[in-house]
Amino acid sequence: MKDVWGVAVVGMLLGLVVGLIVTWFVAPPELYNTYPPMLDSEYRQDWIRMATWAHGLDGDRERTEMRLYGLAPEELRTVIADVFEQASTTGAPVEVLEQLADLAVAFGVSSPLVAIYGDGQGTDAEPDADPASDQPTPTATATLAPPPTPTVRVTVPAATPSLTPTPTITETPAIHVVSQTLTCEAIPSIAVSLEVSRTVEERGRERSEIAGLPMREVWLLWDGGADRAITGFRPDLGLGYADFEVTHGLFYNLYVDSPYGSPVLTLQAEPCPAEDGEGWVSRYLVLRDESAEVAARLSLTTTISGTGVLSGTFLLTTTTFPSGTIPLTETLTLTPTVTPTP
Amino acid sequence: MMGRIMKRLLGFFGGIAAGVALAMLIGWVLFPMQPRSVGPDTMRSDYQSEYVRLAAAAYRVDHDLDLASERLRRLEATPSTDPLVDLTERWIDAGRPSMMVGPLVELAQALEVDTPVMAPYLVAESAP
Repeated sequence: MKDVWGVAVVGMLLGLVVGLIVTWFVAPPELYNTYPPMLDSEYRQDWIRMATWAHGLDGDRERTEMRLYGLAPEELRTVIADVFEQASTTGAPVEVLEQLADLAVAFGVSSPLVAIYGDGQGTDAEPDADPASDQPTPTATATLAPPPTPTVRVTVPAATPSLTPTPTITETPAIHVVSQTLTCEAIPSIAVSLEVSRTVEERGRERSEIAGLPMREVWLLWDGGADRAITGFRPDLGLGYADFEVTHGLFYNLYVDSPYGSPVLTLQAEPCPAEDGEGWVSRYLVLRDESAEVAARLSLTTTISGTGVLSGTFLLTTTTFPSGTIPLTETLTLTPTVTPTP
Repeated sequence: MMGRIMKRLLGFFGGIAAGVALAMLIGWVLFPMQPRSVGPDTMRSDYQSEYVRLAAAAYRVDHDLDLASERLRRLEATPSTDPLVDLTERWIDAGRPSMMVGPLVELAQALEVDTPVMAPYLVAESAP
């Protein structure tokens, strides 16, 4: 009987060894119907990366959260921050950056860039957004109370009031060069720091301060080319900082916000003076945005012509850049002029 | 004599069977070997469709065709573009909005696997 048990134990050990070799090495269990959190680190991070990019395109937070459900928050933060960094350095559109910042904020990513774009979204919703960055485009909207009721007892044939508001804006250049620092470099560049002077209240006392303006477009146009930079991509150098590499010998027109109209400045990368050694002149320009002051000086002229008795409510608004609307609370007094027709 | 040998044989093979059963329990249930790689090809089919969709969306942003190809290859289909073409045609048949189909068609065209059914979307995509 002992022999039988001994043989059985030997058989079992043999079966166990062979079985373990098979189950561990020859035919290990295969996974199927997995989902993203179960993927290998490399694929999991790629999944997060793709989901983040997709969010940058469609901004569908609900769907993105479903895609990222169950993934480790720390891993999410790392990859989302990485994608955001990549998007900002490769010059992704501002809308994409804002969507990405929205996601980054939602997942607790904190970085200066995220703060810029995250705050940018927040200030959009606030009516008292920094007016210094506004470029007003006034529009006049007239709402007429129908129908006009003549109050003068004269015969007014077909009294059809017609309003033709013609707003005219007297524009004043709003960007000024405050200072220019020249250095001698092997590769010439143009760096810009866009800032605004604003009044802040501190403990009941007003004081003015200089602040950098992020998320503003700076354009450099030259004969046969153009380049664009967004301020704030290098917050360590200032929120209003942007720079360009330039080629010597070319003339460059510098614009802020849009490459139209008169340039802020025309520049050229010229050789360094002999006493500074060999190289090319690089410039660091400090630009001051005085849109707010200019906006205060804007004159709006509206010509209204009509016949009959006019009654109406006027709402004047000025569309601000990058977004938002500031109502111009102006009361217009209409003085109807009626010319009786015999 | 024969009975004794039979008993030993039975004990031996019974032991082997018991050992194999125990090994299966240990090797597949209690302490399974970690799979060498858990890639996107192991995901449930709906996640695989989402994966293709994400690969197309990412391509629309980064325009990295090599990376998009590599991502599709990870689904282990032959040819690797099959999941893309299948999903695109399925969604076109289902009348999904062009916002969803567009990126897929764009990637299919970039990989030169666009089919006639995608043609209207290609026109729509290239329209200003």
